[in-house]
Amino acid sequence: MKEIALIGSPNCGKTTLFNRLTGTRQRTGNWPGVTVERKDGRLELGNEKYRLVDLPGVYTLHDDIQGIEARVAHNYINSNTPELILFVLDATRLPRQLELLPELVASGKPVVLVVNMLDSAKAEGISVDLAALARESGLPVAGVIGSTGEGIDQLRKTIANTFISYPAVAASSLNVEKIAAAAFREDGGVSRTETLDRWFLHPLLALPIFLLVMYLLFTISVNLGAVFIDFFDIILGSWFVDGTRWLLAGIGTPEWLQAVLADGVGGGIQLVGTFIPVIGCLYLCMSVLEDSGYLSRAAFVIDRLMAKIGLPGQAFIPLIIGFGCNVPSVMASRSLGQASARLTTIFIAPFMSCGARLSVYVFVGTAFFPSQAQNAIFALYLLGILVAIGSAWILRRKLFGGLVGANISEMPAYHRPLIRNVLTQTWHRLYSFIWRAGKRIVVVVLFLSVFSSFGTDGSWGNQDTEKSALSATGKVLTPMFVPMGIGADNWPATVGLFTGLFAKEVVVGTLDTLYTPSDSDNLNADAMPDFAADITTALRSVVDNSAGLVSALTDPLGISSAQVDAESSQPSSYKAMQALFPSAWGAFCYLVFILLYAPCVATIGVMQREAGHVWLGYSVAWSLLLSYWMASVLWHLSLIASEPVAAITWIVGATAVLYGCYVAILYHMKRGIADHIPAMNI
Amino acid sequence: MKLSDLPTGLSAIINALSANNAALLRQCGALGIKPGERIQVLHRSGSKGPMQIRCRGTLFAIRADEAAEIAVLAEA
Repeated sequence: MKEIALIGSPNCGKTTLFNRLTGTRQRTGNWPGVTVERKDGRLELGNEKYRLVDLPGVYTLHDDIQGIEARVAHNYINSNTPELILFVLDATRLPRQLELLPELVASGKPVVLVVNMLDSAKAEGISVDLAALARESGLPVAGVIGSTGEGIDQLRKTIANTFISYPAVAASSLNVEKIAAAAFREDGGVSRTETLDRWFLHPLLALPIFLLVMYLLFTISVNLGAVFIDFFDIILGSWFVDGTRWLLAGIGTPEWLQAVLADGVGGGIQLVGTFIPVIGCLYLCMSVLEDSGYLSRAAFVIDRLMAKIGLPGQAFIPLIIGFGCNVPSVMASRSLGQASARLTTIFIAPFMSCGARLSVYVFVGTAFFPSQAQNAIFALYLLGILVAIGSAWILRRKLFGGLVGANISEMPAYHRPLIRNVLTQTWHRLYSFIWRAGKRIVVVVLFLSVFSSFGTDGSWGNQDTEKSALSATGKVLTPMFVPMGIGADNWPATVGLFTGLFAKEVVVGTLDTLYTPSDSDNLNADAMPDFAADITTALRSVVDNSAGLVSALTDPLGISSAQVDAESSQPSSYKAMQALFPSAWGAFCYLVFILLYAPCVATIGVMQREAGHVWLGYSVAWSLLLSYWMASVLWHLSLIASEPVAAITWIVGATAVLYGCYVAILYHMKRGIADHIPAMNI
Repeated sequence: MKLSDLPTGLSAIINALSANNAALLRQCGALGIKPGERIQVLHRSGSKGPMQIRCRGTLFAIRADEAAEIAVLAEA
């Protein structure tokens, strides 16, 4: 099959055009460099079939600022494969975009100029003379509006004609400036983008507008998404966990297989499912922002703050999303161009207190310091931010110091977001989370659930009981955590740390169950789940949760509503918990550890995918050490009065060990980064 | 005169790009920000923050540090 190359600079609407021509859908966005991978599609012209190849958006072919992308495009264009080059140009930025033309013509292949976004050009007060463009360049020209499909039929004809006859054009005879001068005219008025920028980049109004947009992004996505969490939880739990167990028990499979398939695989699917609504909503809002062009303005507004920790302004977005959920936060960091900025953002994103961690803070906080819970929670959020800033600062100073970045980026013109584009883009990302990250999550859940189901006496089905292998391990490991003030007999807290790896909110369930005096209520677990009733419950949860949406407007993080929930239920586990923790301060230290020790498996899964296992390893080692140091030092601070020598020795010793470990980690990172960064897809 | 010193709203012709920052030099080259081009400052974020500039119909965000490496001749 003959191949046709589709090339153009970032944000020229290439992907939308690709979708138009091939009928397949793919994501597009407004950030420079959003299209990274090669996409193929089938283009049918009359009876002929062609393969259309969507190349990464590049500014030039010979330059190395875009690293791999430019090289991919260069190699492909100059290989023998493509028989025709479709060169897509954004009409609003025609003069600059034409710079690429001589390089394309030099490849000796037929080039068709496709002038896109004629509608935006009109709105911006720009007119493009297509006839003059064709005359001056000597190349076939087609004008299109990718978003509406106008001019696509003409483009198809132009392509077909070009295959029949193509004028000989020498690269040396092309005068880009002259071509642009002939074809491109601005009416000199104020364009739509400039008018909007007067508001969005206004010296005084820019920040309030930015804060409002971020507030809306967060409130809408997190709270709207949260409405559907229970729905997915109940439905998927009913089908994959209970349903699987019932099915397996019915055909007489051994208990261990039930545990593996129902709790492991089924539980993993259920866990991935509960992330779908929040992540989907976040992506939806993100895609709208991205498609509209505001995202690059938001980056502009917050740039001064981010520059202080050595990150580009764009890194703010992933971090703010982190307060909702760390998973999309890590995934959103992909849009950062510089590898160093991306790696730093992935590194610090897990320190943002996500919504799941909030539930643990509230559960423990309400038990130990009911009147101060708000302040304790606020302190934890602040601590996470400070740790993130500190880590970013260290990375910049010690690791990425030698890399001089060039912080200049294009600000695309504003567009009205296209619903179809937004939805495809959201789906594309959600799909990528479900399948690629989901696989890793299921594997970890499988492992952990087998571990927690398997009893020390060889039986199965011991989740959240004292008998499970996990609880036994917890008991063995508890002495390790005594220095951070959890109490010598407080093994449920240790077990909570392990189950917290599943998802932070699981800690609440684990603590609640393990602290409650046990009376087994799992007797009829093998019974057939009542699918119809579960679906009803799931639907009702959506209705119930929607009712809470209004109050969410004033409390986007849901702190007070979560507190009301915890207070009203007053779990019976509180007494046991209060007895086992040596003091309220010890419980706070435990929360500090929960905040920092390691992200949940879902986050770990996406971190591995986005940054590789080496970087993930550094990140996890870094946060484990830091959390242990922080929690234990905080605990020993409270002991200074009673046993000064031991406490001070511990604080000094732990700090020295942490320092030593960090120096070692940074040393290894430095060595690894030299081989790593250039190879990383930028 | 440095681009970072150019008052908001005024335009100038790029005179030279400092060779100190190779990454910036390459990136500007690729983005079409070259000596001889007309450049205009549209917005600023604070006095030391990034600035929005326009060069050949395209908008860019550039940090003041980097803009200081671009020498311009103010238009009369």
